[in-house]
Amino acid sequence: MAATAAAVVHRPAAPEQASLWSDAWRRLRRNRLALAGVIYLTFLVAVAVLALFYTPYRMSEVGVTLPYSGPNAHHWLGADYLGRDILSRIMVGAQISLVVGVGTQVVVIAVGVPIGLMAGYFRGWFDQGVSFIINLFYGIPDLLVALILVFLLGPSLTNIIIAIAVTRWMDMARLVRGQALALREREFIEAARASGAKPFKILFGHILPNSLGPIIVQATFGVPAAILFEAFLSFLGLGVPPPQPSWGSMAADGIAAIRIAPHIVIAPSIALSLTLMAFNFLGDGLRDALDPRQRR
Amino acid sequence: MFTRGTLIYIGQRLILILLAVVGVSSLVFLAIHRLPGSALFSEHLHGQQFQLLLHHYGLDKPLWQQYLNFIIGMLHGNLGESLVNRGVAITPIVVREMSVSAEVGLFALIFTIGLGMLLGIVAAVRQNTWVDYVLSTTSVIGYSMPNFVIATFLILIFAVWMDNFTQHTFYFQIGWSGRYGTIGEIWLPAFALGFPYASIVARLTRASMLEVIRQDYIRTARAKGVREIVIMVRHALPNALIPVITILGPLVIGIITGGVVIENIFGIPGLGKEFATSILNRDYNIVVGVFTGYAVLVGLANLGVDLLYVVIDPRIRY
Amino acid sequence: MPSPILQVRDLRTQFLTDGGIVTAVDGVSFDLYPGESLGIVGESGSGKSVTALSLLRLVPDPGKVVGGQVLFRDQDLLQLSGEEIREIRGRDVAMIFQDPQSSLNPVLRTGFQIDEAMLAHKKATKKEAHARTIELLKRVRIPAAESRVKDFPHQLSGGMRQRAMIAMGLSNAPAILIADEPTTALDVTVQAQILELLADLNRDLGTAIIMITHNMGVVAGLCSRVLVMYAGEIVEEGPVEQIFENPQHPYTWSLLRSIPRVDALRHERLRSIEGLAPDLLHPPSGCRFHPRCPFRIEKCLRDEPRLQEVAPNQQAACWVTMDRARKEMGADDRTDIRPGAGSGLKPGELID
Repeated sequence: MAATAAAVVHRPAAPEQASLWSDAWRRLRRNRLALAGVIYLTFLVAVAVLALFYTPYRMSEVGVTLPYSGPNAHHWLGADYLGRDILSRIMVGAQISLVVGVGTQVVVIAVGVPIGLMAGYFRGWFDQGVSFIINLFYGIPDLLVALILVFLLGPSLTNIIIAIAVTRWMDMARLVRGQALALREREFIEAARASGAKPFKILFGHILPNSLGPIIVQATFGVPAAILFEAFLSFLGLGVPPPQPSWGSMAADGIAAIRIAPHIVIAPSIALSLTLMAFNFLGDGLRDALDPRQRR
Repeated sequence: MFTRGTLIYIGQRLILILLAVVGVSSLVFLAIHRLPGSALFSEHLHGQQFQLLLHHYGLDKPLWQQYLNFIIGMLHGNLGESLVNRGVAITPIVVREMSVSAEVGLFALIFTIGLGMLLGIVAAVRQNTWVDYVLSTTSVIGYSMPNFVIATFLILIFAVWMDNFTQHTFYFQIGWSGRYGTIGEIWLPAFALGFPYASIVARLTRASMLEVIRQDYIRTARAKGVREIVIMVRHALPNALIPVITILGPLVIGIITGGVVIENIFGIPGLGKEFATSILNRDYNIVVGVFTGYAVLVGLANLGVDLLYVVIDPRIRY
Repeated sequence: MPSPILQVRDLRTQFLTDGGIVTAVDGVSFDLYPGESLGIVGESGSGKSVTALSLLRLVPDPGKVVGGQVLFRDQDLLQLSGEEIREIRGRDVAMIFQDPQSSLNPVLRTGFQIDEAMLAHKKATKKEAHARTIELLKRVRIPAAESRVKDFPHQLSGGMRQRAMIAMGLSNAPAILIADEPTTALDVTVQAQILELLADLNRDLGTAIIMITHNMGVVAGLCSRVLVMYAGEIVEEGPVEQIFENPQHPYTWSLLRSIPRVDALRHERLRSIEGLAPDLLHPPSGCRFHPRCPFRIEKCLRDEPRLQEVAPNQQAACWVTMDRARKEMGADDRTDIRPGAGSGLKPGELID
C-alpha cells in the first residue's frame, strides 16, 4: 500500500517536468553501459557526417586495390570482391543505417502517436477499430510484409523506410494509446477539460508532453529494430540498390567469400552488432532513467 | 486436459486459419497480378508463342476469372504451376519446403526455450551476483546480434577455422544432404536462428522466476520440506513458464521469418530459400505459393502455442 | 508438568532494508508443551508472523534470523544444516498460511500437493500417499474427497482450499502445527468451521498448535495460552481465560476492548487503539508502546520494561500494569476505565 501511495505522489505532474528531465539525465549518466552507448553513437553519427565529405577512397570505385585483399596499411579493413575499400563503404553504410533507423522512427511517431492518442482519448468505435487493426498487424509476420512491400514498391531508401514503418507503427500506437487511456483520468487532464480546453489542446498540450518519456524509450528501441530490418532486406537483396553500400548487403556479399576472405563479412557484421547493441543499451538506460518505478 | 470444448475450439481455429490463408494468398495474388505476364514476356518469345504461353497459364483471361480459378485451385490444394520450370506443380514443392522450414524452426524453438530458460533460471537463482550481471549483459548483446551475424561467426568458427585448425579432420559441414537435415547439419542454423530469441526468453524467464520464487506457494512447498531443486523444477518453473509462453506467438513468428535469412545462408531447401530464389527468378506463381505456405505455417504455429497454454496453465480452458 | 516440546529462547530476526535494519522479532522467548494450543496475538507488523516463519527458518529474503535458539527435541533448529531443517519441516513441524488461494500452487493438482508433503519425507509410497490424502481430505471434511484430489486449487472454494492446506499440514502427523492467520482470508462462517476443525484436531490427534492471529476472538475459541506481541516483543503472556479476565498490559487491555461484544451496553462504543503501529526502523525509546499508551509514566519513556510475573502463570512487560492504573485512578469497576474520555487520566499524569 505504502509503495503505491508513494508512487502516486511521485508521479510527474505537469509542473514538475523540468526536474523530471534533469533527474532522468542524472540517472542516465550513472548507467555505464548506456553512457558507452551514447559515446559510440556520437562517434557513429560523426563518422556518417564525415562520410558526406570525405572517405579514404570513393566507396563505389572498383579495383582501388586487389579484390579480396585483407586489411593493410592503405586499406584498414581490406577490400571486397570487386576490390572496393571496405572502410569507405562501412562509413557510407553508417549513413544508410542511421537514416533508415531514425527515418523509420520519424514515420512511426508521425503515424503511431496521433492514432494512439486519439484511440486512447476518444475510445469508442475508433479505439475498437484501431485496436483491431493493431492486433491484426501483430499476427502477420512483419519481415514477410516488409519483403513483399519492398518487392512491390521497388527497392529504394524511401520505400524501405515506408515498408519498415508499416510493420512497426503499431508498437508506438499501442504504447501511446495506453498512455492516453491512463492519463485521461488524471486530475490535471480533468481540470483542463473542465476549464474548456479543446480535445486537440488536451491531446497535444497535456497528454503528449506527459507521455514523452515512454515515447522516447519506445523510439530508442525502435531504431535498432528498423536498422536490423534494413539489414535483413539488404541481406536478401531487397535493400538499397547497388552500388550504394548497406551493412546488410556487404555482409551478404562477404558470406559468399567467407572461406577465402572472412574480413569482408566480419567488418559489417561487427559494425552492425555494435550499433544495435549501443541503441539497446541506451534504450535500457533511458527506460530505467525515465521510469524509475520499473527498475529492477 | 483436452475436453470436447477444446476440440471444438481447434476446429474453429482451423477454419480461421483457412480463411487467413485464403486472405493472405489473395492479397499477394492480386498485388502482383501484373507481374507474371511481364515475367513471361521478358523471355525471347515471338508473339504467337507468347500468347500460347499466356493461355497456358490462364493469364489471358480477365483478372476476376484468374482470381476465381486461383481460389478454386487453392481450395483443391492446387497452387498452380511454376512459371520458370513449365509443368512443375507448386503444391508438392511448397509442402515439402514447409516441412523442412518447420523442422528447422522447431529445432530453433526448442533450443531458444531450452537455453533461454536455463540461463534465465540461473540468473534468477543467482540474482545480483556476477553470474547475473554477466548473463544480463550477454542477453542484450545476444538480441542485438542479427541472426545472420551469428550465423556468420558460427560458420567461421565451426566450419572454416575448425577445419583449418584440425587439418580437415574435424569440422561441421555446412549444407543440407538429404530431404531432412541431420542433427550435425541442423544445429548450427538452429542456434543462429534461436540465439537472439533465447536472450529475450532468458530476460523474461529471469524476471518471471524472481516474481514466482517470492510467491506464497513456494513458501508452502518449503514448509512441507520439499527439496530446493524440486521446488525450483516442479513448483517454480511451470509458473514461471506462463509469462514466457505469452511471447511464444511473436517468438514463433520471429523464428519463421528469421528462417528466410538463415535458410539462405546455410543452403537449407525450405520456404525461405525458395522465396529468395523465386524472387530472383521472377517465378511469381511460386512467390504466391510460398506466401501461402508461410500463412499455413504461422497459423498452425499460433494454434500450437495456444494449445500449449492449456497444457501448462490448468486455469485456461477453451 | 511435562517438558516442553519446543523452547524458543531470545529469538531475534532482522530485515535489512534500504532505510536500515528493522528488528522484526526482538528477543522473543516462549515454551510450547505437547498437545498444547498456544495463541500469538498482535497487530500487523507486531512480528508475530515473522516469529512463526523464523521457527522453521522460512523468513523471506532481506530477513535473517540473527540470534537465539529454537530447541525442538533437544536440537537447535537454527543450527541445523539445510538438509536437516528440510527434514523437520512438514514432518515434525508443519505450517499453514494465511491465504489458501496463493498458498497452493495453481498449476499442480490439490491432491498431489498433499501427496508431496508425505513423499518429501519418504513417509509413504505414491500409492499409500494417495490413499492417505483422500483419508485426510475426508478428515478435514471435504465432501467427495475422491474426486476433489484431482481438482486444481482454482476449482475449490476458499474454505476447501484452507481445509486442503490443513490436510497437507497434518499429512505427516507432525508434533507441531503452526497456523499463520489461517482464517483471515475466509468468510466469517467458514472461519468458524476452520477453527472448529483445528480445535477437534488438536484434541483428537494431540497435535500442538501455534495459532498466529490478530483476532482475540480466535484465541478465545481455540487456545489455552496466549502470547501478546507488540513491536517485535512479547508484552504479555498467560492462560487465555486469565488474560481475558484480567489483562495487565495496557496493550492487551486495549486489544480486548476492540473486540465487538454482543453483550456490550448499547452506549458503549467499540474502541480502536489510538495511534499508529510503531516504525520499527526507529523504535520508540523505553517501552515501545508508550506513544500510544494512555497510562504511561515518566519511566516508560526512558526504560524498557521486562516481562515479569504479574499474577500466577501470567507475565507482563509494563511499568504500570492495569491493576496499578486502576488503583491510582480510584476506579473499582474493572470495565470502567475510559482513557481519553474526559474523566480519565491525561498522559503522564500518573506519578511514579
